[in-house]
Amino acid sequence: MSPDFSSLVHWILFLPLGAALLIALFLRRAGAVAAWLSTGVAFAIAALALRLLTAAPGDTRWHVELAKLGDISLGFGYLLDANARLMLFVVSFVAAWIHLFSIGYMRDDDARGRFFGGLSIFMFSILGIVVADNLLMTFVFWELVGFSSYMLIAHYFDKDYAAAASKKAFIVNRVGDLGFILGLAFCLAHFGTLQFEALAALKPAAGWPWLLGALLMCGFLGKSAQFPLHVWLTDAMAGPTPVSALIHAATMVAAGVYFMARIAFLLTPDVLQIVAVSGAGMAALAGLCALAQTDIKKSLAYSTLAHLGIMGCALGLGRPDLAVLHMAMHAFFKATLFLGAGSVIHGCHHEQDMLKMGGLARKMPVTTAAFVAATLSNCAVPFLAGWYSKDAILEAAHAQNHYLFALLGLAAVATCLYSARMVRLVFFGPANSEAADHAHESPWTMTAPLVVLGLGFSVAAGFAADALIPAAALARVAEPLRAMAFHATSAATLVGLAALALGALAFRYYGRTAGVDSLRADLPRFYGVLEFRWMDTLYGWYVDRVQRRMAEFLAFLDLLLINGVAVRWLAAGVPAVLGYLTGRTLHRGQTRLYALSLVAGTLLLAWYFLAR
Amino acid sequence: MEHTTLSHHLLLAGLLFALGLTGVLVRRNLLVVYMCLELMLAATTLAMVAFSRFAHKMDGAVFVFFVITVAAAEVAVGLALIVALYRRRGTIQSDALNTLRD
Amino acid sequence: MDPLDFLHANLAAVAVYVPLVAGLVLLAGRRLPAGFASGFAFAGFAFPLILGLWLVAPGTGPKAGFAQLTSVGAPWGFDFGLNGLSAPLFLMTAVVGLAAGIKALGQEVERRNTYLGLLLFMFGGTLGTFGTTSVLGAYFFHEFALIPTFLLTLFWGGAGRRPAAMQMAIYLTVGAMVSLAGLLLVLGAAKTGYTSTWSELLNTLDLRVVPAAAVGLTLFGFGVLASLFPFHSWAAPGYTAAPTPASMLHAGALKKFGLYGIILVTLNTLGGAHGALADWFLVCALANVVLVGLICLAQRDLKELLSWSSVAHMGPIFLGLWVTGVTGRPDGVAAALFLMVAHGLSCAALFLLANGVRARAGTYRLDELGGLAKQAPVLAACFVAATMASIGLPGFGNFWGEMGVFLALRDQSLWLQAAVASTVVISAVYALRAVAATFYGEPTAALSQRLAVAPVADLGWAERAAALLLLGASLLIGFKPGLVTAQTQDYCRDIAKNVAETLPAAAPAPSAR
Repeated sequence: MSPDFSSLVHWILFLPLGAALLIALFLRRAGAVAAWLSTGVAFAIAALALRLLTAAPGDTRWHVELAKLGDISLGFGYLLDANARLMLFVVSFVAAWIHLFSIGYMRDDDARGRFFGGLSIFMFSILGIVVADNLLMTFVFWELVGFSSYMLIAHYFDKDYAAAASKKAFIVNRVGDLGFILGLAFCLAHFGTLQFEALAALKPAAGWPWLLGALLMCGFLGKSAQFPLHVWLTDAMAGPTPVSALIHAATMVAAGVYFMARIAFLLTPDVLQIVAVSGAGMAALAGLCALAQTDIKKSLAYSTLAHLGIMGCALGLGRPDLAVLHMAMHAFFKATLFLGAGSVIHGCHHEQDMLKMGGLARKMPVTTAAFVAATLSNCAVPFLAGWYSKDAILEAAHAQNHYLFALLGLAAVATCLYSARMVRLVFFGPANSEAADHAHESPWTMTAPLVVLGLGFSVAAGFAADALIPAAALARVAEPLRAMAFHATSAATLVGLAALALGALAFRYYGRTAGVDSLRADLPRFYGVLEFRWMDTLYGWYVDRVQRRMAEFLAFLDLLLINGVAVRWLAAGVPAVLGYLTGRTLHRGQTRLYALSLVAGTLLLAWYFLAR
Repeated sequence: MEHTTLSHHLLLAGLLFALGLTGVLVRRNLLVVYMCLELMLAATTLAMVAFSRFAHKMDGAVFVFFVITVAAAEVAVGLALIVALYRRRGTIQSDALNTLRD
Repeated sequence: MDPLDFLHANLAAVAVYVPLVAGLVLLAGRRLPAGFASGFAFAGFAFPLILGLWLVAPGTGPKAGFAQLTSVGAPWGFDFGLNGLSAPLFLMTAVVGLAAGIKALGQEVERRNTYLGLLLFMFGGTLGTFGTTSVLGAYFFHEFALIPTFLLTLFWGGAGRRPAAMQMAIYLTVGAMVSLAGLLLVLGAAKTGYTSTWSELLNTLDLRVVPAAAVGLTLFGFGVLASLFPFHSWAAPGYTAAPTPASMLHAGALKKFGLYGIILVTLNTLGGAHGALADWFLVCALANVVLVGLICLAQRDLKELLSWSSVAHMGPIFLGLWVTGVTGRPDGVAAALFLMVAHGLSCAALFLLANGVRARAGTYRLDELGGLAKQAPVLAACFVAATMASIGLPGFGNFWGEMGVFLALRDQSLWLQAAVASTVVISAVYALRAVAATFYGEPTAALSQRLAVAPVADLGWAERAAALLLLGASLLIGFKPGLVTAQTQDYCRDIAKNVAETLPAAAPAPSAR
C-alpha cells in the first residue's frame, strides 16, 4: 500500500509511452538510437517488474478519477495482486528479450524507428491491461493493444497481404470489443461500478447474471483468438517475426486469458461451459491444422491457437490459476519458438517455407538447441516448463469431464505430431534449397534471447521456479506446482507420455521424404481438409456477398428514395409540376399583374382577419 | 370648421394610398410607377405621423425620420436602376421587361 | 468594475470580432499584397485561440465561473460570454479555425484575399454562434457564417460544386427557418422577450407551456443543420464539393450549432411533455448510426467517405442527447458534448489530410490510390492517427465521448445498445479500408506513372502544423478528459435537472443505485 510502489508502477507504465513519444517525434530517422532506447526501456521495465515481484508489498492499489461524465466516473488506477505481479514480470521479461532480438532481426530495415516506436506503444498498452483496476481502464488499454498490433502487423505495409492482415486483426478484435462494450454498460447498469474489487465484494444474492460474463467473454474471444474469432491470428504472421513472438506468444493473446482470470468470479457455469468446450475443441482442431501448414510461422500460429484453446479450457474448468500458469509457461517456450523461427528465417534470407529448409542443425547450432528445447517444452516432456501447466490442466479436465479430457488429449497428441514435423523438416535431413544451404548463425543480439528464454526458461521455469521466479511471487502459482509432485500413474501423465511416443514416431515418419510433406503424399484429402480455411472462407463470403451488397443497396436506396424521391421529387418536383401548370397562365412576365395579385392577396387576408 | 380628428388624417392617407396603388397597377411607365410608389410611402408616413400626434407618443414621428432617410436612399438607388435599365434596353415600359418570365 | 474584469468580460466579444474585422479588411482590400494579406489573415485566425485559452485558463481568468465573463451592456450589439456549454465548443472552433486558416494560407487560389476574407467571416460567425449569450444572436451568427460557406463552395469548390452548393443552401436555409420558427415559439412562450439570453430563457421558462410544435420544429430544424437522418442529403455532396478549409470549419464546428440548439431548446421537453417526438428522434438517430454507417461502406471516394462518415458520427451524439432527454440523467448530454468537441477536431483533421492526399495523388478515388505511405510517411502517420481518433481509439478525445454515450445508454434495451455499439465495428471497417486503399500496398499503375513524373513531397510544415494542432488537441482531451468535463459538468447537470422536471413521474428517476 505504500505510495512507493504505486510510483514504481507509474514508471513501469509510462516509461514505454515516453519512449514511443520520443521516437515518434525525434527519432524516426535514427533507427539505431530508437532501437536501443526502446530496448533499454524494456529491460528497465523488466527490472522494475522484478523489483515489484520480489519486494512483495502485498497488493498495490492506487486510483484517481480522470473525469466525470455526468454520473459516470472515468477512473484510472492500479490493482496489483499476485496474478498481476507475475503477469507483469512475465510480460516485461519476455518482451525485453524480444526487443533485444529485434535489434538483430531488424538491422537492415529502413523503418526501424517506426517499428521500435510501435513495440514501445505495445508495451504501454499491454502493461496497462495488467495493472488496470477497473473494467473501463482495461478496455482503454485493450483497444490500444488492438491498435498497436494493427500498427506492427502493418509494418510491411507495401505488401498487400500485410495491409489486409492488419485490417483483419483490428476489425475482428473490434467485433469482440463490441461485446465488451455491452458488458461494460451492463455491469454499470446493474452494479453501478466498474472497479474489480468493488465488484468482487458485491456478491449479488441472485448470483451473477450469466449475460454479463457472456458479454465480457466476447472481448476475450477476440483478443485471445478463440473460436469463432480466431481467424486473425494466423494472418497476423504477416508482421515481422519478433512481432509474432511478442503478440502471439507472450502478450496480446495472453491478455485475454489474464483478463478472464481477473473477472473469473463473474463467470457463471453456463459461460464457463461454453469457454471450456470451445477452448478444448479449438485446441484439438488447431493442433491438427498445424500439420497442414508449410509456412513455419503459420504452423506456429496454429500451435498458439491450440495452446490458447487449452488455456480457455482451463478457464472453463474453473481453474484460472492453471490458465495463468500455462500462459506464463507458454510465453517462455512459444516466444522461443517464434524467435527461433525468426532466427531461421533470418539465416535463410527470408525463406519461410519449411519444405525448403532442412539440415540447419549444423549451420545454426545455438538456434537449433534453443528451438529443440522449446519444442520439447511445448510437447510437455516431463519436468520441462510446459509439462507442469499442461499436465495439471489435463489432470483437472480428467477430474471433471471426460469429453474435454479426450479433446485435450487429442490436442496433446497433435502438439507432439506437428512439433516433431517442424523440427524434422527444418533442422534435420538435407538442405532443400539454396537458401537453406547457405544459412548462417545469427548475431549475438538474436541468439542471446534464444539462450535465455529457450535453454533457460523454457526448460527450467517449472522445476526451478523457485530459483528463476522469486518465491515470494509464487503465492498463487506455487500451489499447483507443488501439487504436481509427479504421480506417474495419473491418466493425464499417461496420455502425455503416449503423445510423446507418437511424436517420436512422427519424427521418423516425416524423415522419409525430403522436400515433400509426407502426410500430403499419403493422405492428400485429409491434408486438404486441414489446410482449407473454413471460417475465413465463411467470413469472406459474408463480407463479399452479404455486407458489401447490402451496403451498396442501402447507398442506392438512399440516393433513390431520400435524395431522389423525397427531396428531388416531393420537395422540388411537386412545386415544379405545379409551377409548370400555372406558369402558362399566371407567369406572363407582367409586373402589373404581379402587383395586382399582391394587392388582391393582401385584401383577402385583411378581409379574413377583419371579418372574423 | 371644427377641429380635425384622426379620422380626417387617416382618410386623407387612405386616399393618397389608393391613388398611388391605382397608379402602380395601371401605369406602364416605370418612372411613373415609381412616383406612385413614393406616393404610397408618403401616405403611410402621413398615417404614422397622425397616429403619433393623436396617441401623444413620439414613436411614430421618430420612425418617420427613419422612413424618410431610407426612402431617400431608395429613390437614389431606384432612379439609378431605371436610368441604367433605359440605357441598356432602350425602354422603361414594364410590359416590355419580361425576359425573366421563363 | 475592475479594469481587468472589464477586459475579461469583453474578451469573448473581441475574439469574435477580430476575425470579422480582419475579413472585412481583406474583402475591401482585394489588391493588398499577398504577404501583408497573409499576415493579417493569420492574425485573424490565431488571435481567437489565444484569447480563448486566456479565457478558460485557470488562474488568468476570473475563477468564479463563466457567468462572470458575460459582457452585459457592452457595445457589441449582442452580449457575449462563455459558459460550461459554450466554452469547449468555442475553444474547439478556435482550434479548428486556426488549422483551417493555416491550410487556407498555404493554398494557391484565385482571388486569394477574397477567399481568405470569406473564410475569416465564416470563422468569426462560427465563433459568434457559440460566443454570444443571446438566443437570437446565436441564430444570427450562424446564418452569418452560412453565407460565406455557400459562396466559398460555389466559387472555390471542387467537382459538382454548383448543385452541391445549391442543395446545401436550400437545405440549410430551410432548416434554419424551421428552427427559427420553433425558436420564436419558445421565446414567445418564455415571456422574456426576444433579446433574451440562453440562461434567462432556461431559468425562467416554464417548460410545460412550450408548445409541441416548437419542440418538433426545433428538433427537426436543428436536426437538418446537424444532418439528422433523413435530412442528411446535403451533407455528403456539400462537404465533398466545398473547399477544404470550408469543409473543416463547417463539418467540424459550424454544424455543431444544430446540436447546440437541440441541447438548449429541444431537449428540455423532449421526453416529458411530447414523448412521441422522442421516439421519432430515436429512430432517426439510429438510422444515422446504422444505415449511414452501412452507406459509408459503399463509398469509393475518399472525400465522399469522410463526408458520409461525418454524418454517421452524428448518430452517437444524437443518441447521447436523446437518452438525456428521456431519462433526465446528465451522462448522455455530457458524453455527447464531449463527442461534439472531439469530433470537430478529428473530422477537421481528416478533411485536412485527405486534401493532402489529393494534392499529392491528384485524385480522391480509392481505387486509383495506394502505396502513398512510402512517399509520404508523415502524411500517412497523421492520417492513420486522425482515422484512429475518428473511430474512437483511446487516447483521443472521441473515445471518451463514444464510450460515454454507450455507457449512458446502459439502461436501454440490449438490442438498442448493440445497434448503437455496432458503430465501433462498422466505422473500423470503412475507415481502415480507406487507410489501406490510400496508403498501403503498391501504387496503382496510373498513380505510379504520375509519381514517376512528379515525385510527391511529404507533408509541408504548414500542413504539418495544422494537423499536429488538431491531433494534439484531441490527444490532450483524450489523456486529460477532465479538461473538458471540468467545464461542462455543472452545466450538463443543470440541463438534466431541467429535463427531469418535465418528465412524467413514471419515468425512471435519476439513478439511485
